[in-house]
Amino acid sequence: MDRVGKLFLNLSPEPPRNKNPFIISVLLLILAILLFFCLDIFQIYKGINSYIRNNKSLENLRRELEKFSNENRELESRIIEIKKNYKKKVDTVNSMIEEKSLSWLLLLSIFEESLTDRTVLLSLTPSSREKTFSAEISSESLDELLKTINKLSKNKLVSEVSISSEREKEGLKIFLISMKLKG
Amino acid sequence: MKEKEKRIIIYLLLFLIIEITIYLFLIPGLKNSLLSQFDTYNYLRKSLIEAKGKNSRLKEELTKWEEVKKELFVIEKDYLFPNSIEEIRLLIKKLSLNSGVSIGDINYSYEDILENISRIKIDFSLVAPYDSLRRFIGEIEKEPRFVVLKSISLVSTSSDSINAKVSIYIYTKRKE
Repeated sequence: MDRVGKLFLNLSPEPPRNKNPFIISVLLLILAILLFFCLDIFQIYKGINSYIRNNKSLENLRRELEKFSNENRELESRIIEIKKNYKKKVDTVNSMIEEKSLSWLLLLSIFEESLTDRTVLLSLTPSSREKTFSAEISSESLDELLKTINKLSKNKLVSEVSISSEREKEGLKIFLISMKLKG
Repeated sequence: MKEKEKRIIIYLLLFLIIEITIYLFLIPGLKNSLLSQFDTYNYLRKSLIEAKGKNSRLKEELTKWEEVKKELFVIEKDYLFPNSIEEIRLLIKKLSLNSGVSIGDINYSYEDILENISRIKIDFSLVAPYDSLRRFIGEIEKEPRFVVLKSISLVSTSSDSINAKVSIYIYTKRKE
């Protein structure tokens, strides 16, 4: 029985041929198609998922940004309004405080140290500039006036000593000087 | 291979080519749009950080202005002189008595500097020894309210006294 083989009957007009290469090619192609199909689906799914997730984050960010921008606009308009109402008042009060904080006793002490025996302080007036003031000093001698100015310039509490004008009255030389208190 | 088999192979190949094309071109496009989304995200995030920073700065400034408003209220309430001739005259008398200077002619001029603050300029002549003049200035500086010395001009000096013209400013609440 073992030696009895099967008999294939070829009814086709063509001789029988090997179909294996065709089957293998088809199988390989189907495998490749399936592989790329899975890859495509996976990438598209991943991409769309990230896109949707990111879109939600973007939406949240946009909402938060809009909230802050609106709040900032409101704060800015409130500040502008307050500034409009109070800026002038603040500037005025600041200049009043500056006037009040100027120590005239300190000024007098500076002049007591700087005036020579033959020089007289005629007037003392603060100017509108910060801690700057003008003074009139007089003497019969130009040298004495220059000595006084020199001493004032060397004083550690004073800076920017300059002569604004000079005139003569009844034999006296009068210098109008301007100076600034340090600190 | 038979024609039919060839056709099958060709169709399968075409299908594979389409899938490879999708993999090579469509998916990078999707990635690019994700990247541009990421750029937008970064831009919005940066803008948000800036907006938050600006917000805290503005809130700080607003708080500062609120404090300034309170301080101004205190200054107006406690440090402005009452707009009363009697009080002002009593102040000049007190300054003169405490320092030992004698005050001569007095001139007053009034100016409204703000809707609720007025400034009274008081010019007067003063005769006193130098030490008394210093005490007088010290008394003005000690006064906690807005009374400030504006100028001093010497008219004449002698060995024992000084004759000077003095100007002071008194800041007062403006009369309603």
